[in-house]
Amino acid sequence: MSLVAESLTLAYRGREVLRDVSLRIAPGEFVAIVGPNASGKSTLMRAVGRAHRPQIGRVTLDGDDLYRLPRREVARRLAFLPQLTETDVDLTVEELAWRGRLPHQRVLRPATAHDAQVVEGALRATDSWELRARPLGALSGGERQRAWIALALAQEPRVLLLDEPTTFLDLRHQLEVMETLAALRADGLSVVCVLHDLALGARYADRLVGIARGGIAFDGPPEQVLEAGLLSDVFGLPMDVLTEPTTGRLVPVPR
Amino acid sequence: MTLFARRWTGWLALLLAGGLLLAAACDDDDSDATPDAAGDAESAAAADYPRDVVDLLGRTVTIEAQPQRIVALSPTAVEFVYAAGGTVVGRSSSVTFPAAAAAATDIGTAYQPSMEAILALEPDLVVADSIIHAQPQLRDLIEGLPGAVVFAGADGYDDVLTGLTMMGEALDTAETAASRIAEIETALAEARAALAGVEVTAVVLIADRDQTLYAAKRSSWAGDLLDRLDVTNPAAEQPDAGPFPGYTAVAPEILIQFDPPVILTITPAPEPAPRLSTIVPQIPPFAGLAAVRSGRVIEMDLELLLQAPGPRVDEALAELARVLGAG
Amino acid sequence: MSAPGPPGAQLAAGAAASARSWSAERRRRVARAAALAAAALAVLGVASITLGSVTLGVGEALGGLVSRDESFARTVVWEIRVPRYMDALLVGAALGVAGSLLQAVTRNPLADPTVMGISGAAGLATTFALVLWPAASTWGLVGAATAGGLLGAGAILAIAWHGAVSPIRLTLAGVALSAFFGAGIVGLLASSRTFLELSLGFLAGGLYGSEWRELRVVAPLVLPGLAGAYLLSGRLNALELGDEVATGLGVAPDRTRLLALGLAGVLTGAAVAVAGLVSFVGLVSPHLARFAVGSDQRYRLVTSAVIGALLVGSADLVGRLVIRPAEIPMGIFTAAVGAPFLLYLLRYRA
Repeated sequence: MSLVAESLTLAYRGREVLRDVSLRIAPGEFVAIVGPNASGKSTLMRAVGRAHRPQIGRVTLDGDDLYRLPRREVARRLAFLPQLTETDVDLTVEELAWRGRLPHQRVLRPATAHDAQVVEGALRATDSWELRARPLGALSGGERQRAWIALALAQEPRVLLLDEPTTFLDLRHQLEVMETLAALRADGLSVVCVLHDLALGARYADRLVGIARGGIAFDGPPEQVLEAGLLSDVFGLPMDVLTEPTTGRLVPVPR
Repeated sequence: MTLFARRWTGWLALLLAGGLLLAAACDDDDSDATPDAAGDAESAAAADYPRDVVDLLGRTVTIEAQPQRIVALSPTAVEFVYAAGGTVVGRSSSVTFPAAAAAATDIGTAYQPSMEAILALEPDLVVADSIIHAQPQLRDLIEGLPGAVVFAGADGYDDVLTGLTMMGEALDTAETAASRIAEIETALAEARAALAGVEVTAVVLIADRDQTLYAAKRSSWAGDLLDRLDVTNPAAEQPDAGPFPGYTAVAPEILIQFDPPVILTITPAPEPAPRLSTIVPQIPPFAGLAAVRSGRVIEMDLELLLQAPGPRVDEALAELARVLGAG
Repeated sequence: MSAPGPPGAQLAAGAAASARSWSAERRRRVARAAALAAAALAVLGVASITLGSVTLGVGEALGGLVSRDESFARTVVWEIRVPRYMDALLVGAALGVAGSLLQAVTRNPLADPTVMGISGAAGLATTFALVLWPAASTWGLVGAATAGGLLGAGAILAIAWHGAVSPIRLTLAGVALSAFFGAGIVGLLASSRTFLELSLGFLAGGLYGSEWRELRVVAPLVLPGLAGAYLLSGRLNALELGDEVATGLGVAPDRTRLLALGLAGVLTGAAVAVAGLVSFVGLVSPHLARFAVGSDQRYRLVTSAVIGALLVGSADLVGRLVIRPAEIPMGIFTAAVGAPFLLYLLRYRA
């Protein structure tokens, strides 16, 4: 039991978005949250990332109420990478990753060799080590996204939350980022990401959580939940689930 | 932001120009022979020191011994020292009168005298300006100097006499000061006699960078001199307006309403900047003014009437009597 | 998988070794930068107590610094030049740090106390105090300027507040207020009885007449302000990444902005009380600092303070020398020295 959301009711600008939603994320699990636009999947992500206090219900991290823990303490255990709109951050990849050490540092205790070690680890884990001296502005979209993931990893979190990490990326870079995330769970890190691309989630995630009509429509491994009728209902359009001939993977497609 | 910066630069330029101008304008008249204080004073009874004098700010100052090394911090202060028969070893940058003072060491502008340059001269008397240096921050700084500090300056005719008497006591040259005072009183009497029986109405105008006009009120140096000569000054009792002490902003319609037969102008900007006396007649609404039609818009000396009020008041009065009586 | 470890824990031995050498390298760099800063401040200090409208020999000046007898050199050094140098350092450090805080808070590299109207607010308050209360004590003037700086920061915040503090709204509110306060100052000076000539040093930014008395009032405001800013520096690092990321890093964005603006208000107010309206130091110091030590605010803020101090100190020295014994307000030279340097860096070092 790592990150647990219990019966959350969430409102956005005074309007109820989700009602009575529960979710648990186990250590080392890769979970993708999917659903149509404005279904509340980002709101749910923000709620479990301590960025959106629920009206009702609570979120616990290793048993501690997330919204009662000090911010810094949460930041040491959980990294939440919002959807990236800040494109004008004028830093190098390495400088960005170093900022992830902030929750672990005290003003009068300067950076230690351990910090440097963690940052290097985070850069290597995201294939950003070779890019570390490059300014963010000089990177491709995928490289930049990996640099931001390195920032989150430098927090040494046990849970990594990402909101739409593949938006604005071309197909190759989408796959790169997903490969990176999938590899991280090998270290025992729980990874939760909101995806608007159901096929990407189906390909990489251990579990798919579908959000629709103010609640959870499905929650389970891809092979259980990828079912044409259910998907058609959730996304509001007729869908099919095909089996890829070479790998046997299930691929959801609009009919 | 740019507009803002420009405005500031404008002020700055105005202020710098004002400072520089003090240096530029000076009367060549050297008739005012200055006796040597030291020689003159040795003969007098030096035993009178220490003595107390009351300066123009009303402070009682103890002078320990006859001052030998005097530093004066403004053109007016320098003129007071020389008029009372003294000499200075240090003076503010813009001083050009009397010529002997120009040879003394420069201690910086009157508005920002350099304390270390003053200290280096080891003065036994510092003469500050009771108008310029009355501002508290500057006054504190000057009063903090070691040795005696007196403030002398002139906002009007009476201040000159008071200042001269005070300087005479401080330097133990009371006789020199008294004879200077007598000359001044004679000059006033002559000037009044020259204008006796003539009904004169005049305003004194200055202008800022934007050609906004300001007229001397009775509380200004020039206004006080007009008053001494019984000249009618329509701006004498105007309310305060504008940044120049003793002067009030006059809108064009007010000047037209005054319609004085004589307009005296003072131009702080150095040549070749056009004189205000040539500018005023060219301003269309002023074409019908009596002074413009009769050609009696007259440029006056900058130092005598604006920037170095002090012992040369006799020259200022004579000059006023000359131009005002000429009609 | 009982205790999931951080990804970094899986580092190879080589990475640990490189981390150790990184640590040593970092210590070396910090030591080198500190030594350089100390040397520059010392050289400028010696020049500042040696040169002036009266030139002392270096030996004479240093003698005046250490001797106890009442010599001319001692009076000039201790009563005039040392307090003036210290004032310059405090003003420069305060403006450099205030500029850094404002640039971080607004995420706008063009923000500084002048652009954001905080200098203007402090200046307006000082002008009011001088006009309404000409005999104001040093305490009164410093109090007025600091209160003005804080009120200016508060006004910007109040106007920009919109449920939360958005950087762009902050900048816009600051720019608008800056114009407003500037108009107020010029208007007040233009309509007041005070001597225009005396406003010169104030409007252009000058240190004429610095004394220990002033320093004793201002230092207790500036030094804690600088320390406070340093304590915020880590949070400013997070803020640079955007509010949501900052939140994810355990930093409360609005609270941080509030504190930073308040500190910028106090620091700017104190600087204005001492030196009047000095432009450009707050703008250029953070950029020069970034070129020198990189983007980490924990180093950059300190460096910006040192660079601001050096900038104001050297500008004041030049201003005292060029037309001695008269002087030119140092605010004119801070721009003259800082602007070409920044342009050079932008053109050739970026």
